[in-house]
Amino acid sequence: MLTITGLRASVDGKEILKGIDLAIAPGEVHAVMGPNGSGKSTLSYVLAGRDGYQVTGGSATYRGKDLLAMEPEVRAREGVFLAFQYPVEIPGVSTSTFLKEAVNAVRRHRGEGELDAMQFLKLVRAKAKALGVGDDMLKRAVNAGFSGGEKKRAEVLQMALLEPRLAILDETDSGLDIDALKVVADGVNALRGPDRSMLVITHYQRLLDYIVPDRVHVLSGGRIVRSGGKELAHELEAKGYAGMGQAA
Amino acid sequence: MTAAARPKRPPSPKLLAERTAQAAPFVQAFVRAFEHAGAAAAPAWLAALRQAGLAAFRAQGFPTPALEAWRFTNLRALADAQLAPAGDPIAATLPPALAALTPRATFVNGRFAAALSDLAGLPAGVTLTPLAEATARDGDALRTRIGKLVPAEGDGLAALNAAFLADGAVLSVAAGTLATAPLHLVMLGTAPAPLSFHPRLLVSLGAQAQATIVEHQAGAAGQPYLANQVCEIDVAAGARLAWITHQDHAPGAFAVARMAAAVARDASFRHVLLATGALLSRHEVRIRLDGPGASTGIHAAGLLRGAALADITTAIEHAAPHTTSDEIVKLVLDGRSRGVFQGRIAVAPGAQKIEGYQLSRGLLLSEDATANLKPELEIFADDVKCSHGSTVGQVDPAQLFYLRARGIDPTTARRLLVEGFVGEILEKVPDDETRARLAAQAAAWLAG
Repeated sequence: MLTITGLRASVDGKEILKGIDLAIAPGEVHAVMGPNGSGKSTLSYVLAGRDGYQVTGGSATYRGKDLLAMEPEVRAREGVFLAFQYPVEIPGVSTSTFLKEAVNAVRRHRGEGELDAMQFLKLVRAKAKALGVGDDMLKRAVNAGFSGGEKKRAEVLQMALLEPRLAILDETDSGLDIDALKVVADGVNALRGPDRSMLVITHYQRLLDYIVPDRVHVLSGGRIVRSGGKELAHELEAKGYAGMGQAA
Repeated sequence: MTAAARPKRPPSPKLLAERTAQAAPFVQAFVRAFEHAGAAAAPAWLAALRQAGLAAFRAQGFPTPALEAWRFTNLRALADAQLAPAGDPIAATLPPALAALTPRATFVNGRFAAALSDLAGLPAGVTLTPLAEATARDGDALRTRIGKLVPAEGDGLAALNAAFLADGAVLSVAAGTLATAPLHLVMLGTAPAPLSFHPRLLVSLGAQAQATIVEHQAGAAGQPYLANQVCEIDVAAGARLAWITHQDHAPGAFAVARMAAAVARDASFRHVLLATGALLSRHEVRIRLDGPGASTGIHAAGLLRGAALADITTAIEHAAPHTTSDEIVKLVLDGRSRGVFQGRIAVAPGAQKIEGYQLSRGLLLSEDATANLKPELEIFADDVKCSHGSTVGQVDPAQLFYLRARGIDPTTARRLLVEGFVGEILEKVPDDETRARLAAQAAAWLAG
């Protein structure tokens, strides 16, 4: 699904990613854990194509294509989804208008017909209900005035609607209490499947109790310093990032 | 881009000379036009009012950037255009979108057009009389109202309106009348030859009355024209007036609209403006909150491209304690356009416990566009809550990336963001149909 080789990236001339190697097979869930400043968010933004993140070396191949050469909207249409750590507030644009534009952009790209207003409403209501997202939230402006939990649920709703092949969850647990975390994790788990891969980026092991990964990688100083099975997350919890040293 | 407050200083001799030079040929043209029209049978009080207006115009000429209130808006092109006052009524047709709206009063080049109006559905308690008819009939009642809130001495344009005062409307909503379904006013400009017109609207709401006015300023493409409108509004105790304006004048037009409202105890005046038309426009709103509990809201959006200039100037005077105002002005600027906002909030001595809020934002879609935003607070009371903010920027890259990361192409994403920027203004329109129509017009502008 995704093969990252020797990926290096800089922000404002400062190198943040110093050679990342990572391969995710279809259906696999990989967790990337690391302390603040280790490059976790940079990795997610580089994969999603945000401006200001300069790739200085290496490659990322997504389903046989050069991911890094695509515009952000093309990556999204091709099935890459980034669940933002801090979903952006867009006052004045209603959530349902935004979702309809996004769903139809992806559908056009896949050669599927656009949904009309009624079809879209039916689809979004069905998906929203499972996540406890009410009609009122769909009418409100995108993320504007949403609580932390509402924002993360809205991200998972977008993911459910766009049906990505590769979902990157950037600190989806940040700012959530345990109940909200369970709702979000249930939503994510419902989307797991043999054709869908996930990259779960988190600071804390807690999220991985609910979204159980196949592989865990420890990111430190812009490099992956250790990789292992799900038990690695528990080891990290016990020893802390300091205990990981630089052993690669 | 400037969002500055330069200290006020007296005009330099050079600027004064320029001002005189700028006014002179135009004043002469207007004086000739005035003398030509002067013989028309008018009651003595009206003739005197026009004479006084002309004298004030001769003394002041057109406002120039030497005046603090006109710093950012230069009328030189208007002064050069020699737009003589419109003579005999000109036949016109209504844009189809407006012809379906009722009840509706239509004015062509400032003159009431009975054939294009439909007032059959006016609710009981609401009367609309063409000003020309009213001046001939009840001079005594009108002479004290004309110019009460917008005096001819205010500036050259108000003076010019008084000098050529001919028609307009007297709109009254009787005390206790609830007329919340919109009454439509269509102010149409049509210019086979360059011309100007100077309508005046006198509006009053009796105590506890409610009304919604939707004003459509529109114009047919043709020669340049100046729409120089004055609107004076009295809102009596406990009354509520919502006034929605779509300024959609012809692309080459000069449009000046001055609206002044006196809002009594517990009354409310709420104004929403969408400005998409004209080459050069000035929308000036002055509101005085006269009694405790009085409130006002101004929500305005200007959409500009090409070489257009739109100037939105507001002044809210908290003349009594326990009064509230809230104001948001947004300017979307493309091409080489310039957007101007000047917003003054004045709190009178002793006007305690007032609340004032003002936000102005400029969104630049092009490198060559300019926004001049000037908030001005003058507070002479110590127990007040007053806040203001002012920003000029481009489309937010974080918002743009968020939309693109969901598969939306950059062009659509930008359109959504600009619509959202304007949407915060349009959502203040109280009437659903009007709100939907304005949103469609804003969307059409953005797509164009």
